[in-house]
Amino acid sequence: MEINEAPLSGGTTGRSLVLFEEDGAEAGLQAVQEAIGFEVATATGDESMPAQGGVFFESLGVAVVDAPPDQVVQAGVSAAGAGAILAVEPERIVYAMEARQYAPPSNGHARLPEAPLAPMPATAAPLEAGGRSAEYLRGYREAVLHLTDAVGAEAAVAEAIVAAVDESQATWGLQVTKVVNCCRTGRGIRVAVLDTGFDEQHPDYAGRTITTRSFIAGEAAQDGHGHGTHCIGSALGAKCPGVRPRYGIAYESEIYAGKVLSNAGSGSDTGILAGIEWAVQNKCAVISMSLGAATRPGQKFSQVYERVARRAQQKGTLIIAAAGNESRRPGVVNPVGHPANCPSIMAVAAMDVQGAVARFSNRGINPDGGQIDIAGPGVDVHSSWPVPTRYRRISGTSMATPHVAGIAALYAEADRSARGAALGRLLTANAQRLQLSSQDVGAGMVQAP
Amino acid sequence: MAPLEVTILIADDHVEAIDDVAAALQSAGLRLGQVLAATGVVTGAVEDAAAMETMAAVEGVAAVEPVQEVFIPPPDAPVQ
Repeated sequence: MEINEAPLSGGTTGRSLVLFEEDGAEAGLQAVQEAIGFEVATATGDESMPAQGGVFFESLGVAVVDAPPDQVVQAGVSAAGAGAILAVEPERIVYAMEARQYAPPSNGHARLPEAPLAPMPATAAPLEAGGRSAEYLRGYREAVLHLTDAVGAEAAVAEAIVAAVDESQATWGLQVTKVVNCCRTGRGIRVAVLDTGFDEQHPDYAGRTITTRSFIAGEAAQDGHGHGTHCIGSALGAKCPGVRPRYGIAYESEIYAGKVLSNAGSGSDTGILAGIEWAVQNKCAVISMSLGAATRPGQKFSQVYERVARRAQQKGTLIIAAAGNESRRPGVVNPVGHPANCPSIMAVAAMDVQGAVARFSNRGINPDGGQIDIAGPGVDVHSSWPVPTRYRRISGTSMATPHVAGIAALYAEADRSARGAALGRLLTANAQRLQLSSQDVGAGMVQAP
Repeated sequence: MAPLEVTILIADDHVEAIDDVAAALQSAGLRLGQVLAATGVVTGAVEDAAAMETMAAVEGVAAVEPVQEVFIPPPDAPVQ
């Protein structure tokens, strides 16, 4: 049984939501009634909450009962209720849709193994009885969805999350993607990162095979920004960097650093397409592109990039690109940017350490290629930065993308026949499924072989 | 008027002959940038939007698109 503390900044009503096991509603309901000393009626459709007791929503397997969670929790430990009650959570006061800050409930989850039946925190004063209308039930439905999400989605990644918060040896991103357990190194695989260039003086890359090329007029491939060195770090950085934690994935791959963004952070299709051509000609199995331009809902993808990506795949090169950071969740979501919105370019969403979609991460809104394909770690990402800084922690779909690219190199090493579209299918087929919309996370969190 | 930068997609059945298509594009007024033979793209600049139509009509051209610019935030931004 899970007990979830109220994760929203809004108040609670003093009542409780109880989620029953699918075939345990009868026993669970009985236990709840004994615990609170009142009858819980089955919902008929025109609910107004009884003054005492509660209402059981049969189709949802959820009851809302007029007792605080710490009282209801007693039902969960009784003989009848044990195993029948999955979760107890305070009912929330739900407001009309506005940009309230969402706080993911997974912290509470992480503590559950030690204290599964800890008393709930004091709750706010109950709502006055009566006058509950369709509006109330709509709000109620949101609360139920939240409760079921909390048990499903968060439980799915809870184990990885609990293990992931210790970053003394490896970043959280390398832990949740199982890179730390993988024996592959990217050896023999060429990976191109098209970005702001690369700091070849960084000590963590001593002894590596590095090829650089600038597609920016008047600027050398040396990274005068930092973004490129950070992205290369996540995808291809060292197994044993000068300073722990480990942040790099394909640490024996060959680095192809193409500078298609200037030191000021700007670039254009002309340089990007030239960079793709360079990577394809050099037989890179993977191109990582943490760049793009915002798109509007309804906007079509570029035919030029789409055909280029297909031709690249046919020649053995998979292009992976950032979905873009134009969203401000929960209130504002924007579509996947250009060129990640091409059907043959993998679009990468960003997630945080708690298993939630990053607030800035774009959504698959436009059809026909505008979908998210896969998600990667993209919040609070530690990686390399040009000297003398050496390391930095930043967020973005730009950071999620090289995690997918680095892991693609591991699959490319493991299966020499998997190239182009086949390599992309390996990534999605092996992703960790999440109880989140595929519009937001595609096939789920990328996983190492 | 500033020239308009374009990317030109070469049709599948003309990629092998991309240099010939690039020459035809130049004859039609393209200021040739690069010929990307492996991916079948020609980059360059034209005088205006109407000239894009002229380029699109050249044999072996599958699509003409204006060049888009991309930007990333400055180095000190927390979200990049």
